[in-house]
Amino acid sequence: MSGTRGEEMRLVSLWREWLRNTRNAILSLLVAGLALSSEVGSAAPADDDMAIARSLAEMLRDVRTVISNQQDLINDPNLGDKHLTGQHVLDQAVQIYSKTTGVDPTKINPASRNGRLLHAMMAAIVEVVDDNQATINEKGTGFKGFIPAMSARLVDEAFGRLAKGEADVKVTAPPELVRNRKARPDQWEAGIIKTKLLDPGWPAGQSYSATVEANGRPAFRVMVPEYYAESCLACHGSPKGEMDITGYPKEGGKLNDLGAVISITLYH
Amino acid sequence: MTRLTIRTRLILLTSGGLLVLIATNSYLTRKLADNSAGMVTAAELLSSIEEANSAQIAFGEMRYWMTDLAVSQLTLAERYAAAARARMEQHLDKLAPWNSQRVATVRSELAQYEEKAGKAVDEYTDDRRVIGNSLLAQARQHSLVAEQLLASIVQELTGAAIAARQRVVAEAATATRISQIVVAAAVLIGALLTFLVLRSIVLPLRRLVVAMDGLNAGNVSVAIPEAGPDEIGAMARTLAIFRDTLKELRETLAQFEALRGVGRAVGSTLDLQTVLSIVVGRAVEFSRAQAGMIYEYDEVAREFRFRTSHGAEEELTELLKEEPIRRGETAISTAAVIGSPAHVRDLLSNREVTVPTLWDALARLGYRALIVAPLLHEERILGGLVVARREAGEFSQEIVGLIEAFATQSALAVRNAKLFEEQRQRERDLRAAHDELKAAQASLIHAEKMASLGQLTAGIAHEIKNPLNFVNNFAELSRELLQEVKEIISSAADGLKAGTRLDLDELIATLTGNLSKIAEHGQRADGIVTSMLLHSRGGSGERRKTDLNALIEETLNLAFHGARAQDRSFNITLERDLDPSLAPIEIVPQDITRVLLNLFGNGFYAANKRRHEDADPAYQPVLTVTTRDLGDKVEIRVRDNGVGMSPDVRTKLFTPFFTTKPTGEGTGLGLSISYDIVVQQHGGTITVDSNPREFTEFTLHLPRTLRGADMPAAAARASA
Repeated sequence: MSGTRGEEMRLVSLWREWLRNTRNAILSLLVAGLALSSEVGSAAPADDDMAIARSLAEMLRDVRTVISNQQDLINDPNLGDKHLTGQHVLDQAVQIYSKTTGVDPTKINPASRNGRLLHAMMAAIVEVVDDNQATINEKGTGFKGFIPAMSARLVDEAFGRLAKGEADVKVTAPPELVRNRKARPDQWEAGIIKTKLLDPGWPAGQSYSATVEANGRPAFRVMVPEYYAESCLACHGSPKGEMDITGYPKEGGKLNDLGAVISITLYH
Repeated sequence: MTRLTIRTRLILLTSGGLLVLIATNSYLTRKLADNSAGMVTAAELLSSIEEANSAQIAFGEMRYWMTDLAVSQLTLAERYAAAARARMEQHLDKLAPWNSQRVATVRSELAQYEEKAGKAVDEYTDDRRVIGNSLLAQARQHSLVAEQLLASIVQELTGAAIAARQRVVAEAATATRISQIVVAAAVLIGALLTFLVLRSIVLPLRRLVVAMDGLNAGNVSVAIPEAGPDEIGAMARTLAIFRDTLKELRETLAQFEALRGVGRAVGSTLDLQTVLSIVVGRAVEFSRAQAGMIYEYDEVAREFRFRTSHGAEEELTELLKEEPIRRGETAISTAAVIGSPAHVRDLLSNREVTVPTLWDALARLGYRALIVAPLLHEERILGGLVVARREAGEFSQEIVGLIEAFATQSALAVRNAKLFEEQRQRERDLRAAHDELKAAQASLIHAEKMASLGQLTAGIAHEIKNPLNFVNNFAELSRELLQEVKEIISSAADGLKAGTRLDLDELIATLTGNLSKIAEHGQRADGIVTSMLLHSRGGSGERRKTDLNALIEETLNLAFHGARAQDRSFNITLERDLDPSLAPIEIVPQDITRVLLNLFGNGFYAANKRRHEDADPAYQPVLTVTTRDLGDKVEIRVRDNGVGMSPDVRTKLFTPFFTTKPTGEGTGLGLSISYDIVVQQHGGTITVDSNPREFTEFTLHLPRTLRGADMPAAAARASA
């Protein structure tokens, strides 16, 4: 028993370190994204769509931040019910959103397109966290894999369903950096990443937006770049091929390399 | 085989071996090529098996990663699945040549699996798990088919590889057995052929080597193997020529050596007998005759006289000695006249070849052929060399030439001997003349010395003799006067006191005694002076019968007292071994006294000198005098144990003026005069024997009469 206990403690320690790095990376990406959001490159800018996209991206980053902050709690093998409900997570995300943007998302008119989609995002957060209570509260298991990236993907999937075809949000990346095939960029996304965001002349942190056809429908699409901070490199840095804490080989990324892209599609 | 040359034999043997080697090699090469092809096929099959197995493994990996992808959705699994798929394609590409149809079937099943599995993954990605499961089940069917196909391919390839390997092994074993048999047969046949070829070379070579060894050892009669047509035959022919040449060379060399030996003998010795014996011996030896003889020509008697022979029977030799051959008779004269060898091919048909008695002896002893060579020197006949052979017939030119050469050498030897004899005779004459001259010169010198010494001695003696006569006469007169005084006293005795008369008698007796002694010694001194006068007159003394022992005794005493008078510390033990039966001998006593005085004086001097030099208290000087009556002569030995003398001193002992004494102590004439007295005056001998630090002994032999003297002076001196 003591051996198992010692192993769990070591894993928890490693997990906490990874979490701190991840949180810092997210915060860095968030700051960079916000700072650069004012310089959005666009083929056909539309102020409302861009505002909605920013709002959704912010909420997505916020819930990732919360999940990141709660990793110690989530991965505590000794604690069963952690009372980390969907509403609790959402409250913290809203708090961060409000602090960051100066706007309380709960006060945004749910009838507006922005309010509707933001509420769908918040509902998705609650749904995903609640749906994974069994995992979060699993006693005796340390690292549970309910990490910010996964929670963000699950939130994106739930948001797509709850938005009822009005919008989609996805965290993708250059194809060679994608770990989960669900996060694979589609053809348009892959093209933008390759020709714009990875272009050496592309201004760092600048998003790309365009009104294009998506899934057979006209849509306003925004690609928000996220760059590797120092803390990201613990799992995505060098040496390339070495296993990180999750058992996945590191990509060999360097500081300020393009590491991820938040892709937001607003259907017209 | 011996009809072939060695080169041909070796070429045939080597060619046969090479042919077998080439044939075996070709067969093995072909079999190796076949085996290599079989091995290549087997290797290709093994490689195909490897490819099929690898394809199976890659397919398994692909299925695993596809399944993992469906569950984990990780792109890493997707990349791994794609990589496994690519590897499988590569393995299938390599398998395709073996059975393209089967591989195509596998590819078809693989494609169908991939399609179904990919769709299943997509369905899982889109969270349609049920459809995904269904598609994955369909994919599994294709995977099973593909798996079975690959397994069957592996099985078939394994069977084919085993069969190929067994075929290769069987063929290799067969080839090995065949090649072993061929090689064994080739080795046996090669060994047999090699043995035969070697035998055909080695045996004749060995015979040649034996012949060469024989020649090397000097055996020129060694048998040379029969010459065949091959190289060894050529060697045998060459060796035979070499042997014949060597034989001739040896004979020539032997003749040369014989001539050289004869020449050396002629040059190294003047013994004519030795030289002629060598010459006749060599002549007989090299002419392969049985006897030889040499005659020397006597120019005065004009006849040939036998000198020496070799191989001749004793009977023949005796006859040759007895039968000189006069000039003009027989073949030897003919040869001498014509100046070249006379050749008698058949003795029996030439009776005039020699004198009848000799001819009879030669014929009886079986001699049939003769060579007679003259010994000539500048047309002067010196003799003849005859060689006799029992075999009738002609002598070869070489032998005739050799005999002529021997004759020349003999002539040279005879000539040399004659010259030498003449030379020696001249030397003898010269030496005799020289000796006479020296003796005359010595006599002259000695006479001169003696003359002057005699004159001096005579003068002194004469002057001494007069006062001595006064002493003797007045001593005699005084003794007579004393007698008269005695008579007077006797007549007047009555008037004298008894004591006075006794004193007077004693005084008269003493005076008479003194006067007697004066007279005695005066007479003695007179004798000495007379002797001196006699000696100075140089051998003018008369020979008379003398008691030699008494003379020796008297002289010994005189010498001893003389020595004591000169040196009061002198002392010596005098031993006398005088033959009491010694009869008086006829000598000149004064001269013999001089000789004895010399010998005794020298003995005293040598003993005294040793006493002083050795300073050995144990040393006792002794001088011994011995006399012996030897019948017609008398022997006197004077021996001392003094310092002795070296051989060098001994040889000069009787040389006038030679002395070992310090200057002033000796004249060097004593022994020289003694020698003359003993040897020349008395016809005796005087010899000396001595060892340094041991003794010196003089031995004198004096003939009883002068007629008994049988040793000339020169011979006596030489023996000394």
